[in-house]
Amino acid sequence: MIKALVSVYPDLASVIAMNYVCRLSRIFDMEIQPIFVKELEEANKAPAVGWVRQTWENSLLDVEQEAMNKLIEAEKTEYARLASLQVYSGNRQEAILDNLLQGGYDLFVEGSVSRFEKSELLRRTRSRLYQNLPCPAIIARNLIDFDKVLIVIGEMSPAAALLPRLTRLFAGASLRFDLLHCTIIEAGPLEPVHPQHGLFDEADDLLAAVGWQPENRIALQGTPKDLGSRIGEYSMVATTLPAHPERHGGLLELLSNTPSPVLFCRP
Amino acid sequence: MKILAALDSSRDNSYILKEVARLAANTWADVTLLGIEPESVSAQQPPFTKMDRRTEDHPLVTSLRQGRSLFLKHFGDDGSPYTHTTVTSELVEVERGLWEDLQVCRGSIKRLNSRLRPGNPGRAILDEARHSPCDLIVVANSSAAGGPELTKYVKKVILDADTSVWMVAESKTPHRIVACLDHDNVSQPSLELINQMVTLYSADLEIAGLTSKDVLAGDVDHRMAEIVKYYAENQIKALVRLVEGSRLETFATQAAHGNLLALWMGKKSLLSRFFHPRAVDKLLGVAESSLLILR
Repeated sequence: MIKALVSVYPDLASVIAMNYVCRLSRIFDMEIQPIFVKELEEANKAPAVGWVRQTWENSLLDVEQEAMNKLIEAEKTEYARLASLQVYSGNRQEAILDNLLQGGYDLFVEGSVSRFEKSELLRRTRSRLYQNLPCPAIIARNLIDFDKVLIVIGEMSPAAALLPRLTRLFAGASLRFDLLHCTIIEAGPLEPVHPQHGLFDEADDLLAAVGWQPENRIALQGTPKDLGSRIGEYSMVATTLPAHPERHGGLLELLSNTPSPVLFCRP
Repeated sequence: MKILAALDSSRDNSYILKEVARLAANTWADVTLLGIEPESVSAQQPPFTKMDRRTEDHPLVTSLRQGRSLFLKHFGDDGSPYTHTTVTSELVEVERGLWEDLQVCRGSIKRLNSRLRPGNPGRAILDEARHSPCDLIVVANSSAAGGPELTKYVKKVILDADTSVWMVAESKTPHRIVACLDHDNVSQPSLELINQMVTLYSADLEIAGLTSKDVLAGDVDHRMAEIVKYYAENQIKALVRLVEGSRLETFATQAAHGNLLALWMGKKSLLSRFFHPRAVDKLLGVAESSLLILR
């Protein structure tokens, strides 16, 4: 069973994250724990100090918590293994990291509305939360029914680093997926790369060992934008979480140009 | 649903009638076909108002009648909700113990009106919309054939109409409906109209929220969440994205290409900037696809 922690907030991104993870639970055996971390308001936003400020913050928290409980209740009618909301206050990244580590979670999920800009993914992947994730993470950007996954490998996402984590996460599930080997270039046309040089050998060996078989093997070379547009809509795009995201701008730009949810696995 | 379709007698209306008929077939709408004069009437053509109104060969009358035939042709002879031809026998008890087998000629299930309003076309459309309130006004995208001079009346309709406006272009079927939103005042009929468009064209749906300084207003975020849930419940896949307000024109111009661009207009909407003379010509100039203004 996959134990997933879902970060929620009363906004559109969380609606997407909650709904997407609940759709995933139709396919995979999952236990879903929503978490809301209320970050402390900046001092200058508070109307006063002391008891007044405390009361003001509590009332804000009540309103937000109620909104999220409604969101969870709406999903709960369909998904039985959706736990009640856990509420914390303090630093969001620290609280989530603590929960992921102490709770033994297999997956972290959060929502993000796509801007089709690299900066958004760069900011997230460089954050303390992502750089210290003890498990894979999904950034849900759209509600897409779970059908087929795209696994992205290549120089920036080595198969040996990605596939063991991925196959462990979805162990026992039957997953429909395509395998994409992509070579990112700064300029030039999008074109297929002939896979005669054993581009997929390592991936094939790793997948065969767990009985996984890709439906298609695609090898492409192109700019991030062209590759992103070519990928189209998959239910999920899985890749490695770069240790140095700023050095892998091409991969992040490629991912920014797809509407699909992204699954990052730390090597 | 009530649709008002404006038919310009100087243009080919076949594509606009085809799209209106498809939408009407899906929604069982009451339809008014409104014959309007072109903005620039040629010197050879006497204005309708100066003619003997019983004449049948005025281009405006001919065009309207052709339009009606084309519209009805879409539905065929059987099962059209707009034809009056069904004659049935019904046994009616006229008094106790006495039955009469009546020949009943049923009226059409839905209304199809054909009307003429000569004169300024923009004013004619708006007057008709006020006279017989409708849910959607359909006009031709002026850039499709007539050039920028027709933009004036299309713009007038867009700016002054109280209802949604669909500018139909003679082009390929849109692959995607791109709906832009920057306020939270979204009506249920406008959501359903988008549903109809998605169904009509088997198109994908993308909802773009407009941000200001990279921030999506709380009420818009909330509304988009509701819209996404609504479409999810209706089994319609709706992709979402954010677009910075300062990049709206570029985005919309690109989105209009090959897609149906839908704009939810609000009173203080950023989207109203499109309808400044320069911007609208730019947008319509490249819009080989249609544009839907939602209210």
